[in-house]
Amino acid sequence: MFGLTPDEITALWLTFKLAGTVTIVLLFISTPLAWWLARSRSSMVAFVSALVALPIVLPPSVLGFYFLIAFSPQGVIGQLSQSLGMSGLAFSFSGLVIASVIYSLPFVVQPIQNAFVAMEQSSLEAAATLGANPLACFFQIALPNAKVGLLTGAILGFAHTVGEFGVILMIGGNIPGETQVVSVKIYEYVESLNYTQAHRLSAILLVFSFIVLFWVYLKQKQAGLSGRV
Amino acid sequence: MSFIKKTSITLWLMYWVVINSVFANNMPHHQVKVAVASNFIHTFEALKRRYLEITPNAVLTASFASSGKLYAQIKHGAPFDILLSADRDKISQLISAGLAEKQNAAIYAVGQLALASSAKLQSPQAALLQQEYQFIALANDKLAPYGLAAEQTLANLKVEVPANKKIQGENISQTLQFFLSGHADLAFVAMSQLTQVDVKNYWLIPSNLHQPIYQEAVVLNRSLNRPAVLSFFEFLTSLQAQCLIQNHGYKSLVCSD
Repeated sequence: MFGLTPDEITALWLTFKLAGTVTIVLLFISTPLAWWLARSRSSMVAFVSALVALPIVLPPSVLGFYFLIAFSPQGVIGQLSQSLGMSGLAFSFSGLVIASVIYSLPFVVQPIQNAFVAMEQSSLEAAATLGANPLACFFQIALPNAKVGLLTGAILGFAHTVGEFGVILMIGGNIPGETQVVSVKIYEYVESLNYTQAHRLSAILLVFSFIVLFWVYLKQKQAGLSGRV
Repeated sequence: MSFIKKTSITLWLMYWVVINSVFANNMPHHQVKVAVASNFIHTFEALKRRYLEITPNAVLTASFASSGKLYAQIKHGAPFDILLSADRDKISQLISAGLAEKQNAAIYAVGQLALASSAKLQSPQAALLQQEYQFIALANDKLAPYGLAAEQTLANLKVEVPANKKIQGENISQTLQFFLSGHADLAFVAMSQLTQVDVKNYWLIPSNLHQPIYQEAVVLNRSLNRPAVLSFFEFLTSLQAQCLIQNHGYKSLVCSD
């Protein structure tokens, strides 16, 4: 395929496996979180919002450094995972999933939250007045109406994880098939002066990223024109 | 103060800051810019201190990165005067590309490899062979000369490390970091690093187990301030600098202490 070596195909496959896993986990975490952030009047909202947005501001080197410490056998998460009988998290696929979920969280929470905020209060109130319980309101009215927000969140979470580099470089350990994702592979090519291979893999990522973003913006525009937000 | 007045003062200040930062050239003309491979950071700082003692007017600035990154930057016009690489390969490529001076190139240090261990090493070979560790850390052999030397050592000792137990640092600093943070029980690191941190158990790898790690330096063609540049390059290869380098965990071809 495109003259790719088995190593590169493994790295590509691992990248999409990581991004896919992270997106699914993130949708389950972010939807209720975004709903709470959009609806709650609690004073905790500002605190949690700031916490969720942190990965946008913090450099990957800071996140990676903290993960490295937390995942170590003496660290908080490392001890927790050991007491649960799991092996170490650093330098493993599961470790990358946990780190990426935190790293990409704001990119999924925020579009969903915006969709919930923009939703017309009246339709939810009408449903409640007609006797629908909160759960039914959420699943039958809120979720379908937030479709575009959910889709945008999912795509951005997926794309952001594909583009992850600094954190993985710090906690990955460059193990083929386990933690050696495409961005790290490209870095290795550039550093070892294999510019031809670096160009090929980079071009694949460039085209992929453009197509994903183009599709998201196209969908958003169509949804905006047809009146659905 | 009126709003317009406030705004115009703010705009004027912003303008002033931008103009000053874009066009100002605060760098003195006798400055020497050295690009240094990251394994040599601490030793370079010590060399710099010594050099400034004997040439108080000199201005040395160092940029630390992996040799590969520095090489790529130099190829694309980075304003360095001297490159201290971690290998010889990149130096000869720069020379044949016409970017560096063949007559001003020299091996400034010979790297020594060490195996650091979290437990006391009764027999290093046995520790490597028994594989009772969860992870062994070594630098990526495609990127770092110390990583290549580690792989050669393992091959010479006929030790095969399972892929899921081998974690690779992108450079020798990250490899040591994997060890110091408690993730790896064993790590192939540079002896020069162990003069900086408190690691009790290590084995200095005999130099016949791997190809020598020659670290070469070169004066780059585009260097501007020739006398200052050549003066530092001369110092680098002088007996006193070479013995200082040897005291920092490297070997020297010149110093015989």
